[in-house]
Amino acid sequence: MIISRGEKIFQGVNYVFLTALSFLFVYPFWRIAALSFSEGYEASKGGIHFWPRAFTWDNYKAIFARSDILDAYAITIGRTLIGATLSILLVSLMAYGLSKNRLRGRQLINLMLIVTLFFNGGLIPTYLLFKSLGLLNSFWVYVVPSLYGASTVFIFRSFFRALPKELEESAHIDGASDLTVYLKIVVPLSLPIFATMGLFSAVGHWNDYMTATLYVTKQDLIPVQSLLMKILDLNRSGKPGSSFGMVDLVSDTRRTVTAQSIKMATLVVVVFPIMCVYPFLQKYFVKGVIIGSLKG
Amino acid sequence: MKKRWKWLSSALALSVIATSLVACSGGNNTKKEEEQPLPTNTSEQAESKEDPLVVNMLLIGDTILPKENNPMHQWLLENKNIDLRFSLANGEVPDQMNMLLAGGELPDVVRYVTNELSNSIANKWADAGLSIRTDELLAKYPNLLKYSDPDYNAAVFANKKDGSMNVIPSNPASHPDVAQKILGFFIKEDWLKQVGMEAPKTTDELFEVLMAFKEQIADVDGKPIIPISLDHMGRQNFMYTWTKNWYDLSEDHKTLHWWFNHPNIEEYMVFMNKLYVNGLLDREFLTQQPDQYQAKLSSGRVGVTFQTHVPMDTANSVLKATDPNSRYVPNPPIRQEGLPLPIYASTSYSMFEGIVISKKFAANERNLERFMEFLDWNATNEGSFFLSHGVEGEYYVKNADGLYEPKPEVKAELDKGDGTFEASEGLKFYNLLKYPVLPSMEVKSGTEELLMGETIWAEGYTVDDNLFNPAGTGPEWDKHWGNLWPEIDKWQAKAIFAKDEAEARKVTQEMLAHFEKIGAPEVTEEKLRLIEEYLNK
Repeated sequence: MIISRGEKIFQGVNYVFLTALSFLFVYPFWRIAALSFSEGYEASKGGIHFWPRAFTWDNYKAIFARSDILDAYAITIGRTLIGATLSILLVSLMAYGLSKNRLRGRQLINLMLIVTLFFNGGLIPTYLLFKSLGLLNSFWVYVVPSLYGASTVFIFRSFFRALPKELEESAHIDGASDLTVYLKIVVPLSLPIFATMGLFSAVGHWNDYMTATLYVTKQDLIPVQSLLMKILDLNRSGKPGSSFGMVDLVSDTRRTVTAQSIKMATLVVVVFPIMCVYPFLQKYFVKGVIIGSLKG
Repeated sequence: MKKRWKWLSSALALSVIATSLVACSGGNNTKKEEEQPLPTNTSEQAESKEDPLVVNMLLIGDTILPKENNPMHQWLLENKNIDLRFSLANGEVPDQMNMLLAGGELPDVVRYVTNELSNSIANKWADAGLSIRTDELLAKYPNLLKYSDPDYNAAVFANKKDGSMNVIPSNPASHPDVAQKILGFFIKEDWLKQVGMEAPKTTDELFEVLMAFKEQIADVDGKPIIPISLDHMGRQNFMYTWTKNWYDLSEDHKTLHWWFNHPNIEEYMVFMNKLYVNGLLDREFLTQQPDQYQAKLSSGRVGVTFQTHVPMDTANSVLKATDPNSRYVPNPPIRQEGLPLPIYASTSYSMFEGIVISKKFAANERNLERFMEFLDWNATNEGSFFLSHGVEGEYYVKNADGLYEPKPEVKAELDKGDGTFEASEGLKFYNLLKYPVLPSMEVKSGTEELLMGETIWAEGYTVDDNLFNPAGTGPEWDKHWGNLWPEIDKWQAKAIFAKDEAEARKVTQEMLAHFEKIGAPEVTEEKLRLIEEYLNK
């Protein structure tokens, strides 16, 4: 195909524009990473630069030196894997049932779900409920309350409804039960929505710190987000005599971290795992969002 | 086949539900396990005949806990027969306290950060029968009140319904004898030497110094210098040069001005306009972010500013790394001739934290007695020093002046400033009252410049009149205050960036008229009435 001169110019301008836009999106993360590997006093000088001016691992050492960081990661990874898996499994089962017109009481269940979209019990009633269920200071406080989400149920339900009924009918004719149809036909066809909702749920579990803040006092049960918030708080406090990081410059044991550089390292520690996972799920994510929205 | 799958899927669903239910009850079992006391010690002391006193203490508002089985915990177990077990409530203090109130159960002892709201919730705990009154305990152990003012306690902590005390006040960080001077003006010392001038103490002297900086100090790293830069806190405190403090109450308690509607605020606006017009004021002072402000300080471009010691120490560390002579040092308060000295901060008899004892714990009278005896020992100089500094010679040693200072290896750990060393050794955490030792037995900690501030900044500190805050606030305050003080920045921008003095004065008069319309008179009148009521109590 012959490309006209005008089209070539347009493509060139397009590439330049998109490159500049990409740089604008990427540079803030790049700068955060560069600052996280910089000595604190260099970071406090400000300015724009692409590489760490004085490279150090001290910021990460300050975070990972804590012995409770591994416990916190274990809690976070555990709740993310267990919570997201259980949630998607149970929500999809519920949504599959609700997608069938023959289910009795379907309208009532839908109504109850809709009510939960608009109304919330509030902090104190929720706390009392969790207390009565024995969820306080328990690992399961991270998993059980977030097993079901009304919006997720509706998204799955819409997706399942959009699947060709003929596939299921032919499977039933061949003697498959509802569960077999769900496992062998519906799930393979719904991988995009499973991946999308799974990613949403996993990211929600990974980023959540409010649950620990409100319902957990045992320090070996707090997730990594809450621990990192604590590290930030500790390093932010300007206690007299410990002006953070650099009290004795001539000492060999001086630290080179500041609240700012610790904050940057914390951001990297928090975001990096999700950034590693996301590229593998991206194609499902894009497909799932589009399909879900069009057929909903 | 179909039936088998049905049975299998039902079994799977049931097992998931059962697992969840079992897991949900796991928290209660764990709690029961925690309540089991440790085996009795075999110490020869009389106390050891009893089982160790187990005290489960919840800290609300703290951010770090000591490590389990740290040396201090072990020492207290062996020598004081007390097993203090801490847990931490994260999140907002009132929220956590309200949840405990709703839950109907308190841990053995709770220590919380005090303010008007949290104190009222602590009193609600007592009203709900969750905690005990402390009047008799405070009368029996008067040492516990040695750093607080009974009138202040009565005004701030006592239950408004019946005047009972339900809290043991702790943490006298603001006490006049212990409070450190941590904020004030600071100035670039090497610039001052270069222009051959003394540290300014008046607005006229400040203007002269700033002009000298502008004319004689070269650009820094190719960027123009900024003679003076101020963030929000700095601006407000600089206003006190004219308004004395954030409030100005007359001696007869009949007139009251806030800093934003003080008659002298016009002179502040005029002075700042003069700085701006002469190119001495940072043009970004109203919009800059904290890290931008810090970057300016750390790059050594700013001549004078007002802040806490933290940005100063950070900037000094950066500057001294390349040039040992380049640093910021504390500057005396800036005053206006004929006006009172500004007050940047006040010390007081306020206690920042409160200890509440649950009724459940106090039901065992012997346990309560043992815990109170521990607190009473904590309140002594010996107890406070030991609980904060550990066994003598282990972490701190006496220097030639007879003062305790940390060993070099301990100092290196403490200077990290993140509390991990204290947490691993259990230092300071078991000083439940957070009481200091007076007179001080240790070397003051801090950078050289911070220690200079103890004398240079002292003039800007006063003792709180113990009247204004305890008088409280009312509905007019709740209605209007949130709208009043944010307005000052908006009007500052107009007045300070005015083209000349006349326009700056005109804008200021418009500002004062505006405050008259948005609730300043109502808030003022209500506060004066509350002060009068408080005085008549």
